Amino acid sequence: MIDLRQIHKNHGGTAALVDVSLTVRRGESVALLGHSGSGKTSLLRLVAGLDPPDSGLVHTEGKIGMVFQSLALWPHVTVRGQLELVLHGSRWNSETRKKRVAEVMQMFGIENWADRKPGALSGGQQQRVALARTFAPEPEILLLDEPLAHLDVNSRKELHPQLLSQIKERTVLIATHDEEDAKALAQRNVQMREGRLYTQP
Amino acid sequence: MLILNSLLFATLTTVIALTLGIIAFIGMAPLSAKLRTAALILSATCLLMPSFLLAGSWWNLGMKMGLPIASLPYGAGVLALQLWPAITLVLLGFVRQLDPSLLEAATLMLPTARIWTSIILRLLVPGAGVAALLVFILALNNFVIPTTFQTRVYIADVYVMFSSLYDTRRALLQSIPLWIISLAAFTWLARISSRLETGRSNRQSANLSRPVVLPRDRTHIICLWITWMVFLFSLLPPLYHLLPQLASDDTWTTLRLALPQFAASLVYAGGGALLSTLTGLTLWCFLILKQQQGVRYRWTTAIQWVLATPFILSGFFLGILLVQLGQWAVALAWWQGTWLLGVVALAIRFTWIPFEMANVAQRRIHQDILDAARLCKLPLSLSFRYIHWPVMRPSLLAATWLVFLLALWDVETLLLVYPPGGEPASLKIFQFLHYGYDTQVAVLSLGLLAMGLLPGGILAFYLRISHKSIPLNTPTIHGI
Repeated sequence: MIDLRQIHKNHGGTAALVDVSLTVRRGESVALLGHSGSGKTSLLRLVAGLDPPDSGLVHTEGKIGMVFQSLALWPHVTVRGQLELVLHGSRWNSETRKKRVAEVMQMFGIENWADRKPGALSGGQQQRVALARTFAPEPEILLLDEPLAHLDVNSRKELHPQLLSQIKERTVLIATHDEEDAKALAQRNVQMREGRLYTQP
Repeated sequence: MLILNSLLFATLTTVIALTLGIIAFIGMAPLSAKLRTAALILSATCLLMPSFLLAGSWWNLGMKMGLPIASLPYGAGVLALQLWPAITLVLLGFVRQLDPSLLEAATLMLPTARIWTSIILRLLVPGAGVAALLVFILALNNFVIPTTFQTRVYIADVYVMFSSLYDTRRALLQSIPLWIISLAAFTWLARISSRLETGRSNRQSANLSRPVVLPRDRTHIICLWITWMVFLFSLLPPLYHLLPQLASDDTWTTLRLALPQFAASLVYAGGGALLSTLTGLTLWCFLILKQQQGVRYRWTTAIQWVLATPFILSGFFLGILLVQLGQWAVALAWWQGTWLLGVVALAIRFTWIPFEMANVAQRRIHQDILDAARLCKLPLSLSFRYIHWPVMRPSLLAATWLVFLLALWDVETLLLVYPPGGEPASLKIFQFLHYGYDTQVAVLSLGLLAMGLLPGGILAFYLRISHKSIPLNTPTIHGI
């Protein structure tokens, strides 16, 4: 689960998050809807533990995986290498890890580009690799920052069922400005404006 | 008064080198890949040319032509003829980091001249600033060239005073003005650089294959012609001076006799370059570890300042300090009179270069890429190998070569610390130059030039046999 209590965060004197409180129950998926600069990414980074809050409490239970808005693929590592690296510290043995890599590559349709580096992939292909890399170690908590932003409308719709099956029974926080994505992937939506959270009915 | 002379000499050298460097950049940047490579090789050759040889050849030429050789502007001009490629090379390096789409958008909307004046040159101010500072510091601390052209500068005067009185305290006190000037220039540059936009793309996460294409017009053609002229001025006199020596039997005898000095140079420069790169790399490993704990910038800045201090101050003062340290601390006395002292002195002086070049390379890594590694708890060994090292490797190789070259030509740092029988070729040349032994200067410079090119040759050979090209290939991982 994710539990946030009265979070405040400033970036260079500007308030990025103001008195944010939010609970995402185990197995629940929540979409953070809002325009650019509304504080969605700041909130996700805080939940991931990448940035500390100025005040307030962040409580998470379980291993966290995150899809970054910039995708953050390691440029000098092949697609297969990206997956192998994230599984390196896992409790699985080498054989299981290999199986898992093959399984995830097939799941996201990236097995044909396994030996390519990110620079040789299109934006949409990179997006699939970023998703596969996040799902590979089977995290309990998923933080998805604009997870389908680099895909065209058809590819998005194509990926919705795949993503839905993967996020099922996981605790998920999705930052998006696209209401279609929010409707398709989340059970509950919350609005963000100028760093504040507004719960939708 | 002498401080003013030093400042004038360094400033004039910087202004001339900056002007020539920017003109050459405008001329070279829009060239086709093949022509640009040829121009880059010529630029690197100018930079490789030993300053002793340049000084000797321009001294002879000036004498024959009746030029005012014993003057400050003449000396500054000669040193600038060696250092201008540093400006061009740094600017060409910076331009490769610009966002290609930024220039593509400008090409659609603005005339060529406007793109250059309003966008390209403005974005390159930090790069030009860094290069100009480097030239300024090298010129301020150089006493071979001003001494050759009979210009009295502060650093040479301090050396003469120290040689006759051996008053360490006085010499170290005299270093303070130079230190303050260099530090002020350094601080000023750091401040203006932080305020300027660099227009850099996040080339790390973007497609790396798209090149930056610069527009060309009539100005570019004029600048290109001036650049070829500058090449002639930088290369022809020393080569004209050097080539006849190759045909002389005395040349080979002189070279044979100087073998111990060349061996010493190789030990000092090679050892100094390796030690400084290893130190820079070790410091970066420490920083990467700290970075995973979220304290990157505080530590980086602190280390930058510590490393910059010996670099911006003349190596001569570092020599005094190290000798004095051996006398103060009995435990360190054993290294007096060993070759290790020279290697350590050069490493202390130049570690800033590999560290800073690695720092610039590191800044190209997008924060999200590092955060992704942090989030999946990638151990330091793996994140270093697959994220940091591929980015740092070309810069560190270049830095090692640069330190090797600077250490090879170095006179100031080694002057006080070389052991008996361990005199490097650069010092021998300096003495020959001082007493006017022109032929020996040319011959020994030829040897140093060959040694300077050696690492480049080895690197080219390595790339040829492994079918790799710069930027060096990056590791792929299988079966971790």
